[in-house]
Amino acid sequence: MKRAITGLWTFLLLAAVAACGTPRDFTIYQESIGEFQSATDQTASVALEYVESINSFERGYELTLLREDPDRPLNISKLSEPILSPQAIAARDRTFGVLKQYTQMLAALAESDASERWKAASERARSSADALLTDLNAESGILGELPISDITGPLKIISDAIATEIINAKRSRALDAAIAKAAPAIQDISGKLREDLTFVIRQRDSVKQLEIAELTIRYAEAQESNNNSARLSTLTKIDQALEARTKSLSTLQGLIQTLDQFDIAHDALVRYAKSEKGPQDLSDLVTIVRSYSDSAKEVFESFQRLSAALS
Amino acid sequence: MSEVKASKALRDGLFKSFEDMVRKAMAPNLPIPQRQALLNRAQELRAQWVELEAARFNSEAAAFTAAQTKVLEATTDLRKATKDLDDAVKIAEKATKVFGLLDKLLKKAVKFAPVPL
Repeated sequence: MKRAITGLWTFLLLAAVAACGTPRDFTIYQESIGEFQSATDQTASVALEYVESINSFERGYELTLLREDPDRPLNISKLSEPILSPQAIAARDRTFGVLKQYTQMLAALAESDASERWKAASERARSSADALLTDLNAESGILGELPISDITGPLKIISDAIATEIINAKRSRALDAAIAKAAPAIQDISGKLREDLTFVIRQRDSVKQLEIAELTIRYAEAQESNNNSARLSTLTKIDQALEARTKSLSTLQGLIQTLDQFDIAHDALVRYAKSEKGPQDLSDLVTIVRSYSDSAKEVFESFQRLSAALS
Repeated sequence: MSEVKASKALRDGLFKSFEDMVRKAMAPNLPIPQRQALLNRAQELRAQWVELEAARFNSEAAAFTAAQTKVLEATTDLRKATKDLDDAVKIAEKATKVFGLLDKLLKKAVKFAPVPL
């Protein structure tokens, strides 16, 4: 009789596991979601810093032009009115906040310790039930003759395993649904942010281009006037300006590439959510998210180095 | 703040003209005054391009808000799913208390039960 009950529960356990569609290795999936979240956090913070500094950069450039050119007409609105409205900047700020919240909730759900807490609670419930059964056995002649605890022990172990699988499957389904629901809007946001970042790159790089062009004219003037020391000093400045431009472009273009990788990683999450969740699907997801994470770290560190050098 | 919103092609085209102008201003075979004039023109083109980009940036606040709403909905779903899992665990935690209470009640019942004659 006991063997038949155990056999039935084993069958039910296997059937439940098969029906759940849980990722084969939920821990690896959880880690990938966590990496995606921290990479997005880093990308968003760097991008927001750049977007927020568009106004101050433009104002600073106008001041530089006024200082360098005594004949430049003073257009006070260029100093007093920011080119970007506070509402438009606030919209980007909120967007980054929403993106962060979304990836944080993805990570929170993926990392939820619900199945572990279930196991702990279930273990305590089993101990309490066992104590109750022991007391019942001691006080009741009829119950004392039944092998209740012999049956409940293995059944509870099996039901724990099922509960864990159900919790993981439920969690996996919720993650899949949320990722699929947010996907079109995330794509839309990412496209708009790419335009903003392209604006930032061109805004900064155009000033560097003008600076280098100006220096080449000063160089030609020094050549024409046979002023060798001025020529050499200008040559050094040209060399420094070219190097600074390369560094700045590399960080800013790295940021755009990280945004591209964010898209690829999010697409991979959507694809994984819709897949059969086989080992190859998971391996593909892990590879893509790791590459995004490495790129985000690199850009974050490069941005920090650049900021430290400027301050 | 400019209210003009230009297409992406127009903005990209303007920026390309700026870059062409800068390249010409660096040409060593041109006389210096001509190079300076090209550089000044490049600066003007840049200022116009910045205005167009700023107009696009300022006009997209509404589109950002619409996309945010969708992402927020997904975030709310995730929050609810997390809460549902927590609720499931709470059931197991409550079961522990019920078993414990029943055990205590049973012990008390035995203690106060009438002694058989």
